Amino acid sequence: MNEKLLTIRDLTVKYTVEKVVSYAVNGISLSLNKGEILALVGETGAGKTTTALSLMGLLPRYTAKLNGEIIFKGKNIMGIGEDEYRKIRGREISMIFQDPMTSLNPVFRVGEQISDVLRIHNKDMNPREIQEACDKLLDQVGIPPSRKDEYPHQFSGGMKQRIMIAIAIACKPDLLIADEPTTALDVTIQAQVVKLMRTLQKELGSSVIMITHDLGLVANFCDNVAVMYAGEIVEYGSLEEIFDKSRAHHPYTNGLFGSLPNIMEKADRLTPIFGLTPHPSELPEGCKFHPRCPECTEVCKKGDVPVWVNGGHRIQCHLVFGRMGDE
Amino acid sequence: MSNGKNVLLEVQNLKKYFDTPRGPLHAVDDISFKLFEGETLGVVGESGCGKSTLGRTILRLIPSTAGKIIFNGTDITHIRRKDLRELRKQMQIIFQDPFASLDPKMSVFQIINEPFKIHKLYKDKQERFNRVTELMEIVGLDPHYIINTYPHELDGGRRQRIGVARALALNPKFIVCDEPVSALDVSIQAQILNLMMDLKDELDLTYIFITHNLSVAKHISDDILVMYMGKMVEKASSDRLFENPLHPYTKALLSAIPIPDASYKGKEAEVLQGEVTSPVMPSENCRFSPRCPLAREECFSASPEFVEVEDKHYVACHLIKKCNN
Repeated sequence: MNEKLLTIRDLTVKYTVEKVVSYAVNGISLSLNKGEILALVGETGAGKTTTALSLMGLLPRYTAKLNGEIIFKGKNIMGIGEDEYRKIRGREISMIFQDPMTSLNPVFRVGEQISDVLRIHNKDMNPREIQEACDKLLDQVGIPPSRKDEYPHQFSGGMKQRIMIAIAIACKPDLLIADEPTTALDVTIQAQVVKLMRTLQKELGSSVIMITHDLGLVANFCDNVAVMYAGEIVEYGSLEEIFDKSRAHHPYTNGLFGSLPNIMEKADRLTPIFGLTPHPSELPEGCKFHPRCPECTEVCKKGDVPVWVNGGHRIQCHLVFGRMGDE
Repeated sequence: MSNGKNVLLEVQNLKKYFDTPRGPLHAVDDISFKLFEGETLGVVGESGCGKSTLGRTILRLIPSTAGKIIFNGTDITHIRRKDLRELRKQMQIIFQDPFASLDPKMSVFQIINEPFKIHKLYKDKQERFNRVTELMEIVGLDPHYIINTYPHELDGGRRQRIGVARALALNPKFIVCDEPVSALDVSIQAQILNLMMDLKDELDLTYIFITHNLSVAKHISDDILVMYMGKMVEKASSDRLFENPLHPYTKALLSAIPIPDASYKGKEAEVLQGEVTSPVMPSENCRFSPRCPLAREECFSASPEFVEVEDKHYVACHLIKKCNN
């Protein structure tokens, strides 16, 4: 069970557009076991989607500059050629995108869009086998296979997302990246999609990286959590560690929880995080969270930030490090 | 909450049908409620349930098909355009998407100043400028840096603050907030929610707060109205609704909210099957019946009435009526 599927070492991604450099991902390291579900949590601009796209090899070649290592199944896939990537993408690593309304091609029948993936990655399958596999996939995601000749606009949002999932799991990938798969959906439909993903994940045994800002979804679905802010992982731990209020946390993690209206308890006011996420081209010096941090001190404003480590729980913060010591 | 307070808004059997080639689409179907001064009514439901149409019909941004809207004692259902314009000073709206609801060709000053231009207020230039900067300060924007910028230069949170400032410009009594935070990040969402609650207290505002997010609705509302396919499904005070939801749809909505707590890991919520059916020419039944886990014969044949089952707790469900009689 504890077999490593993916290790990311010191990944950085810089975008250069018209001589302005944006530091989207700033040295993140992660590892993922087989069958593990990891949540990448953070707000807009935290670098979650850029991290996912760099795993998929989908970043624009000329504007995005990558550094570091992405070791997938024992092999560094950073910077490998497009031909090689095509064999991995869609078959071994696949992705469910955020917005099912714009991710499907409106002029192709949904059956064709699912069969495409199968056809590209399984050269030895004949057309009939592909049709059968496509029917089976639709059935797995709860859509009657008789509807495969319809076009995306004939389906509702929830059903489109099911079709996206069918495409993503068509080749039984080892790693499934889900980029905010439920944000565009209504609550009751959200619950249906989450249930479906859970069932499929158990069936296929795939590892999942779930990108989301919905902490409720994280609590419901994931094993480990990485909290991202301004292109860094500021806190990493198991679900229980991150959600245990009695433990030490990064001030940003606390801020995220404080911002959330909770139906279980009645609070008169929320405690939001002051200020705004910095633009990735103008990141502050020192701890990148310091201008918004309620507990910011002088040390936070300059230099590198130490990481406090306690077993699997890591927090990148001067204050936590100072308070808890180097255990 | 309602002791001794005036009814600011009363809606009676309001209907809004849209004509479609396949027949009338029942977007808002027979909605009635009273809203007292200084209170917040949360309107909750999934996309397509008619909550935004309800908000817009109440403000007379779109004409109603039938029913009455009584604002501050006057029936405004059919008043003339000229009177309507006067009325708009008292009723305003904050839109969902701060990226689409601000004119990209207008500066922040021009946007907040526009209501004054339309209503010919503050003739003196300096006076207008002062009022605009005052409004910006009220919503937590720094006029010094922002007053001459354009919407595309600002982030979602700041833009939504501009939307709030514009809505407040004419000192309204009543604001329809149509999903004002759903396009924003969580930390910014919390800032805007706090701002709106503060403004409500300071300026004595009355809100209709339209949202699909039940946690947000609970946080900000006194009463909550749950809608399904244009119909009222349940209405109660927000505490009551969360403590004791009666309608199967409300129950399903509540159980579908993912709770941010590690002990809920892997817990299978009761997942509602199926999807919303078409509101075009709906048949005379309980509109939730095709998805309802408890539906029985009568649910498919007759539309349930919206009745008070406990003190100020209204439900439209055949099954609930039964147990209480």
